[in-house]
Amino acid sequence: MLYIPYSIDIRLPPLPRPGQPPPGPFGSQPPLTFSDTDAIYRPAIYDEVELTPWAGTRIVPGVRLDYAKDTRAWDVQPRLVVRQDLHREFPRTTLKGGIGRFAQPPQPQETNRVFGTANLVSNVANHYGGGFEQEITRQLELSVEGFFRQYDRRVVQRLGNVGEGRAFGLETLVRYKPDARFFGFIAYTLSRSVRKDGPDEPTKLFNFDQTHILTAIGSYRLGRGWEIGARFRYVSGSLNTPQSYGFYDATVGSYIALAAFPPSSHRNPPFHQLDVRVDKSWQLGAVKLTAYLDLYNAYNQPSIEGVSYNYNSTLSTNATGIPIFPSLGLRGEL
Amino acid sequence: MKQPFSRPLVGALLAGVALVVAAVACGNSGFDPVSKVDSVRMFVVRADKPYAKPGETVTLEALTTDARKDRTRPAKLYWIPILCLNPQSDLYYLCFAPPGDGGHSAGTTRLVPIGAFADAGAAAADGGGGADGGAFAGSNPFSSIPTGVDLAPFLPQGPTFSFQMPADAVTTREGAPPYGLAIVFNVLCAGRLEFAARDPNGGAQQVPVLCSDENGVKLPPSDYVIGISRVYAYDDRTNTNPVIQAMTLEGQDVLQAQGVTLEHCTADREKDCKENKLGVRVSDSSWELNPSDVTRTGVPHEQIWVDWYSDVGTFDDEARLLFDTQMGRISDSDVKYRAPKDPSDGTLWGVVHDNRGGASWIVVPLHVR
Repeated sequence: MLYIPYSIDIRLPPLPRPGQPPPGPFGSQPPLTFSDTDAIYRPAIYDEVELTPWAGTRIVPGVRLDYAKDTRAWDVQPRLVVRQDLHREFPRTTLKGGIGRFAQPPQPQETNRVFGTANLVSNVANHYGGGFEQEITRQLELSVEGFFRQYDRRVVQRLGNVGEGRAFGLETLVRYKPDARFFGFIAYTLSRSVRKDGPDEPTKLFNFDQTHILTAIGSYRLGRGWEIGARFRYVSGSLNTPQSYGFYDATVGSYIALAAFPPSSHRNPPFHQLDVRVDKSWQLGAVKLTAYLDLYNAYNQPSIEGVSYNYNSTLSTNATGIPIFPSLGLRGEL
Repeated sequence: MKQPFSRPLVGALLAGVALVVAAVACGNSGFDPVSKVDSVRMFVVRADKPYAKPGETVTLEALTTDARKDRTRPAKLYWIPILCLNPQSDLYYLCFAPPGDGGHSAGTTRLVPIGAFADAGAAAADGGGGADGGAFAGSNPFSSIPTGVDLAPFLPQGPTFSFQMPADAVTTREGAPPYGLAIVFNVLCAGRLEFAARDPNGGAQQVPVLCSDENGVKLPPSDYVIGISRVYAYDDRTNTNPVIQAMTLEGQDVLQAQGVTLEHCTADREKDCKENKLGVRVSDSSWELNPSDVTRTGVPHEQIWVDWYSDVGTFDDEARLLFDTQMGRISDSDVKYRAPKDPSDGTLWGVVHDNRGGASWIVVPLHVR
């Protein structure tokens, strides 16, 4: 249950549509005004049943109902997850699959009568997934799953439920189950996510599309209270829209950058980072004392998280993330 | 029991961390501020009536300069004599987008030729014709003007430009009182000006003109500025430009003819140079009520601020607030200015804006001894 009473007085320029070039400085458009006292009210109920009709089979049907006061509509979202063991003993082999409908009500600014669009309904996404799990050794397990998500009735600011999209890809996980000394896993996702802002609009990459996502984590007990762990991540660079020298708003006194078309046409270099942690523990009677050194971004990779421009967009520099950052700590446990 | 590998391991890790953190701490120097003037610049375009009534004549006046070292090609200010009236969503770039471009928002923009262009348009309508079958054939006069033609002979030049606000400029708006918006484009160009070919796949926001050298090569941003000026039309509202009474140095009025005289900086580091307090004195009557901003607590006033520019020395801020919408005059609104290390002559520009399109300026010579 979500219930948020609010009282709001707002003055803002019209909200831009996705991909719209900059309208100019903040003060260049007369503001729209809106005042209201009301409440956001979104109750929901969810239920699922776990069925095991025969050995090695698990079927979990479920349904979720959401109501949104701003759209005055119920969203019915049925879901189903199925697992079937093909070989129950070692090496276990399991098939798995799922299908479900997910709904997200529009944001308050999207249904607002001044800034938004009338008669909106919820965004919906239909999820489909299927794959398998395979034990390779007693400690090592492989999981592979393909997925496809179809987005319908996407709300596009000031246009309505005209957007659509899809995302698809493959998720893999190799996991080493914890033993006396080691624990770790490697997860890799290959994906592509695209959107359309209307039936006649071009298909474009989703702003947060990430082709490759790799995470590797490992932790090893050296003995005598020493433990060393590491995490490595590699992710495709985020998308951005390059800017260049454009116009000058001579009324307000501010430059207006020229945004490249199509939007989000440039991808930043990939993000990759290694984090390392060393722990040393002592058992002092009933107290366990642990000292640790956490080294964030161990090889000081200047991951590019954005681009900043000078006042007229003739010069630019990359905005980088957190540099190498050590953290020393001491923890006591009774 | 002593751990044989603990000391070297921890020591090496800490040493490495210290080295890298020290290297990272040496950041870059950043960009030049907008207040540093070393190129062709347009500071502001002021309308004598920032809020005009339909039918009134409005005169625009531009404050510009050319601070390039090489001024072989002089900079000239050209006005595009076509009024862009009420573009969809007030978006300036839909003025020169052909119908259907700009996504879902074509169809409401009106382009109103001014002066000689209006006469040419009327002649075309009477069958006079012209390049491309008539100056304003089709719904967008911009798209009918051929590219590659030097526009200088056809465009009004100079610091001022006048037009009449159309009688039907004011339209109803959702979430706002009725108003009209007229947009005028101008170009400060140190070269040859022509209309640029429009890329059909280039999106809505495209630069409509090209400022090039004598060989047709596009000039760098330091040699041109494409300006956008907005004038609003209301049936029942007015706005006057702020009134600047004087520029001040350390609280004392500066005689505009004599300007500001300062000693050059003798310190090694710029941040150790003497800080000189510069300000502008703006009349209390400039702080008008702003009926567009009605809130539950009443009708606030305008916000007024000053933008500072100079071609020598540096400011610690590019802009300072002079009047707050609620609190009124700001007591400490001076900017700190540091003179350069070498004696030189330059200019100080103070441009005062209100948040309803009003503007005024003061320009004084600067002498660094």
